[in-house]
Amino acid sequence: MPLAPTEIDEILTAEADHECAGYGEQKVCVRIAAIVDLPSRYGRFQVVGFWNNRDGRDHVAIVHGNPIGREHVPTRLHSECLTGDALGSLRCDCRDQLEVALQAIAAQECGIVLYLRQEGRGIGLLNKLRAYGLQDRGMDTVEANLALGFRDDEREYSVAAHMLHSLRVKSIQLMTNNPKKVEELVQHGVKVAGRIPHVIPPNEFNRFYLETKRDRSGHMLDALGKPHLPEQGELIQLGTQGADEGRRD
Amino acid sequence: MPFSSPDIVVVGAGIAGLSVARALRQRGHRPVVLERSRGVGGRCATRRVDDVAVDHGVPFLHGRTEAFLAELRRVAGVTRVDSWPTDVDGTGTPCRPDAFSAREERVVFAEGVNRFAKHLAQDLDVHLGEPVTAVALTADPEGLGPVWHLQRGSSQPLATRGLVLTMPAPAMRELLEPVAATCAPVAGLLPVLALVQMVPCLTVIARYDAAAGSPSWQMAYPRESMTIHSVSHDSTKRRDAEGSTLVIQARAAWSRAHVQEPPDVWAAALLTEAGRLYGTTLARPASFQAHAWRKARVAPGCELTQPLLVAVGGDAWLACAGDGFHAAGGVEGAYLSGVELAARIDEQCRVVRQDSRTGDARAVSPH
Repeated sequence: MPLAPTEIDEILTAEADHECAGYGEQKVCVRIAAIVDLPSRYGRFQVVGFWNNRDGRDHVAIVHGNPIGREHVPTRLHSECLTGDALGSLRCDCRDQLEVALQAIAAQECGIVLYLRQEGRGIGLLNKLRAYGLQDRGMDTVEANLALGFRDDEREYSVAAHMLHSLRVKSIQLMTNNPKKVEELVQHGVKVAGRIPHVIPPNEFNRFYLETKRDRSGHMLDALGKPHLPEQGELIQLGTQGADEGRRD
Repeated sequence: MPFSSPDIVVVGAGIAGLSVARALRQRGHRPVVLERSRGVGGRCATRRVDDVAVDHGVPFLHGRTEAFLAELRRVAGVTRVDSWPTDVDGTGTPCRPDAFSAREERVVFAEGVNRFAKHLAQDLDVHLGEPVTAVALTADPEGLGPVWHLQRGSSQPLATRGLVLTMPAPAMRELLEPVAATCAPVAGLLPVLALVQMVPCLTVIARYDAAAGSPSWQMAYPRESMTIHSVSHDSTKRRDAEGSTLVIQARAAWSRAHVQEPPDVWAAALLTEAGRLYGTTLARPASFQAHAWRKARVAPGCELTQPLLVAVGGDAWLACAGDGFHAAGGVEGAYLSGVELAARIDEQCRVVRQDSRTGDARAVSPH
């Protein structure tokens, strides 16, 4: 069952004056400013909009069911990627990852996708485009990507941790193949009860792409021969039976 | 012959160069700083006009990171004018659009903003009037990998393993272009440096008699002018000022269009525009000086997010820092990029030293 109107009103009232010392190096504090129904092609969700005290980036949580006070809530962290998520870019696999995550939580009684407005892994759309521009000219160096902000960015974990706290989730099962991500969240006080490998089922369209990605963990080329920037910061796992298979992990 | 030249040479004594050199000193290194002009500070500039200090580069210092604000507080022996400017006219955009946001702190010194640079330069080995005209990467006679050789005007060439460039990015590219042909890491950096576009700013310092009257504001950003970007009422920072001093700074596109003209011509146009905007008496100053900042600031949105540091073979390395190498941009970005770079250099030198303990005897000591 989704959050009922009375619960929503209660949360919004309680959050209205929320103020805490903040999470992480940036001392970021978020508060829930809106909770609305969002029927989507992947299932019926509610979207929780967060205000934050640091910048104008309004992060959202896409929620299925009612996570309040629940244990073992399947949770996925997704960093915004305009070119992938909205425009269907083949230079990254962000949209595939987002779709699989939304399908996976829609199939569960309760689940969360944190949609973090950190384009280009925390640095911004312009720098991501400028990195693509360098790649288009065949100039793709590690130092260039570092200079444009493509590096592991720990800030997202502090925001994500605070968002989960605001959603009053007791513990999560993180949909990730990256144990480091679990450690980072734990450091920010999130109880991670388990890890669900993030599995994308292959189909006739993406099989080659996914297999290539699995087999070549380093540099990736897409259908146009353009290199990929690892925007979601981790590899997806190739599977045949959907996310449930990973429960053994 | 033992390798007795400095291990690290910093080119440029602007805020970034001083910042990286100072942070390296604090970590036990002994960098040498080479500056082509006669003073430190670069665009964080103050000159004396009729024996009164005038800031003709950045009009005020502002920032929000604790590291930068703490450094500003450490500047000793100055009279602080906190929160300057408080009276701002016009709705145009400052160089840094968020300069007046609530989280931003602003300050000037009655002695001039350049005192910040002088503060950073204390106890540093800074050589003024030493332009670096060419760099080359050559094999060390001892066979210990490549070494940078710096040509500096008429002085003896200088050899070093660590080279930090902090001049405007276009000048970095010019200097590195010849090296790129034989050094792949340098060739890889050039397109990255090309992303850091810089724009010019034509500047007029205008002095007015007390009788001429003076504007009621401290800074003006006239949105309606396509010529003038900002006017700083500089004398409101000073205690000893007689009459008033304005620093008129032109818009980037206008500056680009007029920078080849004789200074008298564009200075007259800027004064006329100031008169049109703020009263005709401002068009006729008692005296004025013109200064063309050809690389005045990084074009908005062109900043990289961090300083660059690449190995160029053996123990030799190249680094770049400046206001174009930190997301904060401006003086704050320049300072922070220097601090960040020093930490990375220090870390790298430690790794190299550890390697040398386990293996061969070549020491890359910071001293």
